[in-house]
Amino acid sequence: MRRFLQRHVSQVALSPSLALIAIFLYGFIAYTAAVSTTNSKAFPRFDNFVGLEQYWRLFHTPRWHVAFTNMFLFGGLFLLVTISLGLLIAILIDQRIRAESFFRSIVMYPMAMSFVVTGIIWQWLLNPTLGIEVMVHQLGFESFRLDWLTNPNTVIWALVVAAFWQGCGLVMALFLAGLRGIDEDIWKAAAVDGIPAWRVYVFIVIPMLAPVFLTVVVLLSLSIVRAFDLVVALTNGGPGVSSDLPSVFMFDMAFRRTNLGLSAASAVVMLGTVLAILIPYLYVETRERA
Amino acid sequence: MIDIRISSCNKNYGSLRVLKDINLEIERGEFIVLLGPSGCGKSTLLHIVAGLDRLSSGAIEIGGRDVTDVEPKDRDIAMVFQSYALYPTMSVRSNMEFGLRMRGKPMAEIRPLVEEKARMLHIDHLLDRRPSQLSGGQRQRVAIGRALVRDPKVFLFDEPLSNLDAKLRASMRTEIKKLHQSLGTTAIYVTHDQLEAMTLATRMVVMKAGEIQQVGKPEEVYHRPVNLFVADFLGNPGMNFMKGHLRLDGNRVSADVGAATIPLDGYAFDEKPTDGQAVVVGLRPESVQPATGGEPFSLTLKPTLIEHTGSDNLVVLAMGSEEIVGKFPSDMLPKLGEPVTVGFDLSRLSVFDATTERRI
Amino acid sequence: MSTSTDAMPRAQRAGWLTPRRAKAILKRGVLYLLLAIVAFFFAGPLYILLSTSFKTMPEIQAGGLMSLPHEPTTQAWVTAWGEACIGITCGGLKGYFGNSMIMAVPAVLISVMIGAINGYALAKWPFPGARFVFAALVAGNFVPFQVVLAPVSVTLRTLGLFGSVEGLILIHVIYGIPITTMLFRNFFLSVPNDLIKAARIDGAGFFWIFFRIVLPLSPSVIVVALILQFTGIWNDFLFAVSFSNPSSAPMTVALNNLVNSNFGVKEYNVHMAATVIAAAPTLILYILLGRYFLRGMTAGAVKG
Repeated sequence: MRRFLQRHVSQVALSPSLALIAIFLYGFIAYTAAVSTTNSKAFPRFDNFVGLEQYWRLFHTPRWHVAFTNMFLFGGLFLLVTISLGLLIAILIDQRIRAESFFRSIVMYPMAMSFVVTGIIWQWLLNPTLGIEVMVHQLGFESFRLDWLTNPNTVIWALVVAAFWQGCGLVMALFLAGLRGIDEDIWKAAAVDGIPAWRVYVFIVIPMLAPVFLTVVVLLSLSIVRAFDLVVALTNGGPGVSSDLPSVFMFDMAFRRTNLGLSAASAVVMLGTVLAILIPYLYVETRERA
Repeated sequence: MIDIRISSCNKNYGSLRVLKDINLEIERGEFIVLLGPSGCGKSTLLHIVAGLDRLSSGAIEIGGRDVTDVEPKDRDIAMVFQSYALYPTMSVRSNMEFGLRMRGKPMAEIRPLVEEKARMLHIDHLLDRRPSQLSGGQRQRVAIGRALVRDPKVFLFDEPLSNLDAKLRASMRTEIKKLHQSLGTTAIYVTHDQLEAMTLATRMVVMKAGEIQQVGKPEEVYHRPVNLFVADFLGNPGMNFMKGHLRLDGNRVSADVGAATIPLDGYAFDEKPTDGQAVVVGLRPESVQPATGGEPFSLTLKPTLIEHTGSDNLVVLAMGSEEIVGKFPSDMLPKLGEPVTVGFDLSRLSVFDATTERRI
Repeated sequence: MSTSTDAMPRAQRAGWLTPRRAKAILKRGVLYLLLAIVAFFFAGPLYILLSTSFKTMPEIQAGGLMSLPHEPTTQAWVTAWGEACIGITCGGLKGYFGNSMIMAVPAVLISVMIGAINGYALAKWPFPGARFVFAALVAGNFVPFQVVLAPVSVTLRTLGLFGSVEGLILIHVIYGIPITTMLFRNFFLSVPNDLIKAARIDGAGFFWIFFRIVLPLSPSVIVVALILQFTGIWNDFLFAVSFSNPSSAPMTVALNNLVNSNFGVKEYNVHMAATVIAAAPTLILYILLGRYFLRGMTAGAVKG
């Protein structure tokens, strides 16, 4: 026994974690998948198998449609804004500026804030009777309107700007690290050839950052699928359900509407979305390394 | 007295066979060098002797005890690593004390031992430093000191000098040799550097692709390589190879290598030669010398290239469509294009079968 | 910006405002202007948050979002900390701050410890199948936790831990395993294998080598892991809102309840003070340990 422990100490040390993950992650995923094939309401029951009916119901629920569409709308806008501005800010900071660490810190500190805090801050700033709108009015621009939070058609922008404020720091840092990793000689060669800086960026440097782009897109996409706290704190899905996201829908169905079966189906769809992002990414990554 | 016995040792990583049926017996006090190109399995073999890798099948004995399933710490061995592997957070002294402390030896006994070995290696003034404050050569001395303090049954060296520059390497090599001569402890030493192997080994083991090619005293392996691989791997510049066919004429044997016919009357064949057998005749460059007149066999060849190494002149000579290299003394400088007469030292010839590549 | 032609030679002689130089200065000017706008966008909200928290309600209603408080008062802070009503109790945030602390500190320490041992075992004591084990553990980083909420809820109820701080600690420890294991395993790969081998020959065992040789080499990754886990657990909302009850709720839940409740008059200055209190611990970590913080966030960006 002693010898066995000595020889397999590594496996022995890992086994508690492995057991916990096997149950709490893989077991529970299977459990949720199983619940999604039942008609469970407040409590999970397995004596009322309904096959894929919950998924059929899910995609015939108007609120889910809004949530699912919002995920792509919010995701697309968030990716576009965060990647383009994040890269731009990284380039600005990479210009051998004074007080570089000061600017870097300012862009990155919101990372330390929770999404709840971020949501509350922007709820306040976007409040039409107290926030930025009032401030601009007092500057003399009386006709200025910033009604994102109360307008169902533009509420998605409120999520985008708050998520950008919180997440830009990480994206900027990743791009900055990528820019710093580029061989100095490339800049020297371009200077000798007389190529203007913006052309070097567009045609040489940014293409070289392709791996960083891939990483950033995947990281942000994963966070988009999981986005929950921000919506709860900023809009709580409103006005109406216009800023609903799948995670909020799932939570509502599970804990407020006591419709566990439908909730489980929506959770499985979320997991499926993550896999749809991850599997191609891992495929590309492993193929490039090989 | 056999100190280490490696029997039918195999090591597989999945379908990859890293060691294939290795058998080796090492006498007490020998200095065995495992030599071979990278990936030949020499390091794996050393790690298996150390107990750091488990073998897939076979057995290891140290000092007459089967240690196949024994933990490294209980094998009474000490090891010196290429990367030195000094514990970075401990002082030199603690590094050297560590092994004995783990064995529960009282500090009162450890201290004088560490100081003695440190003096021996001229690192006694460094005992309170951290490894990061030492030069490469100093670190290697500490690593050796750490092994010495343990006074083990066997020393294992895993390419210990590879990270040092050429000059330090030469001086450490001499030092290791002296240490072995004074201590007489059995040692296994892994290297890909043939100079280290030739100078340090009492016996060397040449390996290739997980198999032992040849075991023997350095001069024996150098002068009587058992196959083309060993012949080619040892020596710098490499052995000259001349392709040809054997000719049996009564009881006289010669090799027809195209541009010349080399008599093999004095050659001690390991196998019975056959007429017309395709062979490769090998001769080391130092056995190709300017003729002085007394040689039993000489040829007149045209130099095509001369390289001065300082101590010698390496002369490339055209021989039919092939080229051979001669190692001439530095005061013997032939002119390019002007034929010179060179003598072949036929007692140093090696003849290999062209298909099996084995010595015949 | 072109200088007039007759002024040019003099300017060049003086070595000062040549066209080339003027262009460079203009470029720098635009650069710093853009950076100032960026800085304003990111720093502005925190400034507004802080200044509003020191204002009185009448002053807030009068507008002047960007103005400094006329009569700075800490009343809102006192209320937020000790008196504000959250749900039906009016004891301020202090109890919830305590909940978050007694939840986060043990959860962080335990999960970092487990991750360190796992990472060490995987990186330095490999065995057949170690890569598969690593992949199985690390895949947990990518799973959206919504997919385990319901079964975790059932399990916590069965264990009698639902609605307790202990339950949250358990959950954070378990779901912290993938990220801490990944972080430590990747770091420990860089620790030379020869070091482990030398120590094994010297007679040291698995845990001895871990505590005496590997951990002393790893202060930076330990700090990174502590920050990453503390930030993640302190800021967590999903597990907190799903598995806590009003008495065990952590800060994020309490803050959301305080600010987004529909009862009573909205005291914005109190809300702002409460928000700062909720953000303070992680913000302070960021200020003190920025470099490690970034490494932690980059590593943690994959996790759920």
